[in-house]
Amino acid sequence: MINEDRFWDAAVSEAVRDDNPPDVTARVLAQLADQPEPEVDRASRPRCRGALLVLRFAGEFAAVAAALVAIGWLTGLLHWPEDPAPIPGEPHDVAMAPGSEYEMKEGVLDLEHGWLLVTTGAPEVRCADSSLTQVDGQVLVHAGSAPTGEQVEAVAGWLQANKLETDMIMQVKRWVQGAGMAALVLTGSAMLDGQRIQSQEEVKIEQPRWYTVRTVMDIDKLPEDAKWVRGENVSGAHLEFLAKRQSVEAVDFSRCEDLRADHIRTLSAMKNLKFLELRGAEWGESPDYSALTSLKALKELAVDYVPRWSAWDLSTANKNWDAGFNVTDSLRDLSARGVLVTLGNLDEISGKTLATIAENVTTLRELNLEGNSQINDADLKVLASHPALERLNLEECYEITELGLAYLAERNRLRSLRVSMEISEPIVYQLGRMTNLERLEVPWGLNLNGGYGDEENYGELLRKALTQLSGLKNLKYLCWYVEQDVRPEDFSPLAKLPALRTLSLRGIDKQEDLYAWLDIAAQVPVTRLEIGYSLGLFEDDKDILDGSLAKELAKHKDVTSVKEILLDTGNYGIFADRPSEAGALPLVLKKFPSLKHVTLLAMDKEESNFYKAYAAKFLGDYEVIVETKPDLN
Amino acid sequence: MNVTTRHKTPTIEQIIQAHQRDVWRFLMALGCEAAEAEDLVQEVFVEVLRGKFEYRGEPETAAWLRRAAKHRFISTVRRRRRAPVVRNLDDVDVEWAEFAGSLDGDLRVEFLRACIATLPDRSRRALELRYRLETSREDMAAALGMKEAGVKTLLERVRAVLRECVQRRMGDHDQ
Repeated sequence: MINEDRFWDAAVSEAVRDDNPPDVTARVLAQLADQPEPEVDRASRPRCRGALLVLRFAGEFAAVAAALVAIGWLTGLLHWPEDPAPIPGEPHDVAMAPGSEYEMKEGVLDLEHGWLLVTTGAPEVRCADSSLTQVDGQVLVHAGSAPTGEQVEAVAGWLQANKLETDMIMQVKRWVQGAGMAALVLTGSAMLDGQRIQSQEEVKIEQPRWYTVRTVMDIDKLPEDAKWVRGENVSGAHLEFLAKRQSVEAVDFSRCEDLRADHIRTLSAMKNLKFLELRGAEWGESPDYSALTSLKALKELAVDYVPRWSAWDLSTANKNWDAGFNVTDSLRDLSARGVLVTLGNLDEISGKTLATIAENVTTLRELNLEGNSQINDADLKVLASHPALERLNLEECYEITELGLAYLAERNRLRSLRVSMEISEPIVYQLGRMTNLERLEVPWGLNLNGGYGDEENYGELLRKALTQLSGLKNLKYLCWYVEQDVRPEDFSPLAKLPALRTLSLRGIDKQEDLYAWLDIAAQVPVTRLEIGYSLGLFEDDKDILDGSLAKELAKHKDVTSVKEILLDTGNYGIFADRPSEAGALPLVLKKFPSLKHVTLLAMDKEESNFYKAYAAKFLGDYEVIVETKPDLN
Repeated sequence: MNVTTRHKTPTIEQIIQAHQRDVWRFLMALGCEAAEAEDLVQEVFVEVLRGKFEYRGEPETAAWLRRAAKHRFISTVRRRRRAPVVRNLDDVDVEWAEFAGSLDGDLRVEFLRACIATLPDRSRRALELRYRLETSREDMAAALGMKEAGVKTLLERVRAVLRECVQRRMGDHDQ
């Protein structure tokens, strides 16, 4: 429990101060008695809070795009991290190779030079006199003529990251030459200069399939060819049994308990183990990171920098625990071998420690500094010049200002950034300069100088702020906060982001927002929507039963672009014991005629079981995944 | 306003009485000042009970109220450009449910007061300076004849001792 100390602090404070909780009964009753039940005229409200349903395709059997250089596997975690690079076969992306350039003009992608990987649903691609349209599958595009061997080698890393073999790409016969571009159809078909082109053979792209294990029995019953294994409610000791599985390439034992060095050492027997996820794991003995260096096949590691250990005490905390637990030394050794590193649990480290990490872990790809109140702008200057750092979480780092973001924008290395602060115009300006960003999360949205004093112009100011993001040509995922009284058209600048495919909106509270979020989704034609904070979103039984909800929904345009929605309803978004058993959700989802995949994010196992039963009964038209929210720090 | 349930239907007054203390404690834990928390508690109940609230049992009602309280708190923090003292706001209400569910709030405070009474003088003095008088760490150090780092360590140790004491009393109470 991240905030347990804070809760105890509050309890002690109450005890010491002899505070007495107030009794507001009389005042509440008086207020309720004075006010009549408000009429909600949804159709005529000019300004509504936005609300969006978001579907996301994730879970054990889902393929969610992530292109790790060494492995190319995907994860379906909502919050963090999600590798924004596309996975071949995902029907909603345009990926650009390094050094390429294109421009978006009136909904058409104009390739100036370089390479694109184009998948189903992508806009028209033009290059000189050529036009590529109706991509149904996956097509590799090269400006001009078919690429030379040298040109292919120049982007070999990008091709590999997208699981494309350079040998195959180099075969000239596979390319179809158009007037101004060459196309290689990897899967499916497309129209090139008015002619249909098809794949010469189906190129098999492997989709990662995660198996979840909870017991030794589950491990024993894994298929012989199981490659990706995730532990749920497991002990570190389960690794000893998993170590016998030679086929396994990726292990996710985040949040396992009682982890010990010997458990990790047993994994050295797994000759194919390339990826290991241990963030959130709790050690059962004095942590020893040197055990990680015994994993010779490892290509990628995610681990907490400050180990979680229940036996932490003040005496330990005052010692040089880093040296005692072989943390930095081990990470340096792994980094020297080329292992890509992701670090968590950094919220209490100092800037000096951060600099030491940056200096020693040269393959550090991702840092989660959420909640760190010590890191300041000068520390971001150090991070900005790190050679490998691509993903950064600065949520609730309150010492960071626009100056720190300016350092990051100047070096422009980040592909993924999460930030929450007073997002004023100077802040958005810096975000708009980070043109390599593929994922941007601003979970608290715009918070203007002067706070809420300028509500009348808020929509205009929001539009202006979002327009500053127009330079983010690679941005595929955007998370933003929907303020009260924002109009759908205030989000219209986002429609100009050429690569945007996922929009995640937070701050959606009430059922009245339902119609606004449909309209926002219609303004920004993404293929995936996510929604959080949906308290009491589907509550109106009366409107469901008497048909008025359906009539109201019919007044709003269908959102045809969306194929996936992730719904994070929190507790009680869908009820079991209500007069209308299905609730409003099936009706709402009908507004997305292209919808195929629904993910319901449950808060706990009980809710998860409820959602599974609900989905089986009422959401049979969709492929539904139910996930339980992770709480990786 | 409709309050319906398949089972026993509490009155509005009973709902407020049953949950207001927990909502207030939750808001205080989030970082509200006492007066602000009191106002927000009132607003939360008015908002929830005025809306299309359906009583579905105590745990669900508690969760609903906490979530509404969290949203109100977030709005307040954003309006006043204040940093919250808790982390992971997304799930803090769920965390609180686990914390509050382990022991009744009134009982926890009662046990804490009993445990505080058993502390050595310097520890009790440190708590008074920190929580009742809101003394800065520097001034606390001067008052207690310690270095600032020592004050931090002392407070951490005292809090740990109090938690253990409360947990012991919980165990005794359950027996």
